[in-house]
Amino acid sequence: MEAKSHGPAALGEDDMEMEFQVAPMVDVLLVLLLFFMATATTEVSMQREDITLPKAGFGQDIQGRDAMLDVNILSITNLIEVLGVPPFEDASQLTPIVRASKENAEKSGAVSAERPYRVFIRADTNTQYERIHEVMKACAEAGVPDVSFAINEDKDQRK
Amino acid sequence: MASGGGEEGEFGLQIAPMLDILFVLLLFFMVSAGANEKEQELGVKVPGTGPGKADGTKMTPIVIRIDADGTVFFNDTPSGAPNDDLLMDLRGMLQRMTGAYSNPEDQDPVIISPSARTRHTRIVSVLDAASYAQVKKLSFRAPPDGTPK
Repeated sequence: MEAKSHGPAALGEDDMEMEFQVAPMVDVLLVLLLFFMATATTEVSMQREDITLPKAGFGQDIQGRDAMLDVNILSITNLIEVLGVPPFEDASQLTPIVRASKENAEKSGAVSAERPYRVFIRADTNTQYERIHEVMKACAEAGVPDVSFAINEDKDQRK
Repeated sequence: MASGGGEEGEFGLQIAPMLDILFVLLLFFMVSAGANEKEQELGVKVPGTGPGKADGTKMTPIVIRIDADGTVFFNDTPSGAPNDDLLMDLRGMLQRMTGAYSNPEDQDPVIISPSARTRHTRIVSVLDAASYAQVKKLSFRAPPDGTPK
């Protein structure tokens, strides 16, 4: 009796013709599709590789992105980066930028009493408070006292 | 035309290696998706330089001081060593305060007073403890080591 093998060695044998198996391939593709659908989110992370965000367990999901201004404080250099402007050192330069951004948001109707304009500070874990306070003070002088800090969710703390 | 096997002299589509690679890719994306960190926010109100509320005159503010080495003090009472990441004692103290008031507006204001050299991650840990205790009135104090320009 002829023993039939099913491995690659069987390929090419006249009595063991491997046909194109569509069903398993479709199964795999469907699994992949389901996987990417499950992991895809509507909100694109704005994380940067050069800023290591601190972890916290009780933060809130970011909402109302049209009523907030992202301000990055770069690690090592401590430069302030906002709205595509080249990073700068003097925090006082931030005040007119924040004020203008707030006015634009108010004109577009994104700001309300229930949802005030706020600044979203994305700072590295090792950034010193002196620098962060400079940024907060500049924001306050622009009339934006509400500030929030970017964190990475620490799911272990919520357990 | 794609075929699962090779006809004589022809290079056909090899299904088995393709499936192997697909499963490896699937496993890779599953692992990397699990390692993704979600960005969130911790909010705080900064005392504005413009017209502000004249409240809190009857309330005794709670001052949380954070030294440069990360030691946390709750009204001068040590509540977190530098290596204490979770700050459970501080959470308990803040929760006792917030739990005493049914109306969040009646809470004592909490003022965070970090040193100029305090690391941001330590400040976030304190904010996290405040968020856990549902502190509604939170503000920052200028660093005592010298005011910024």
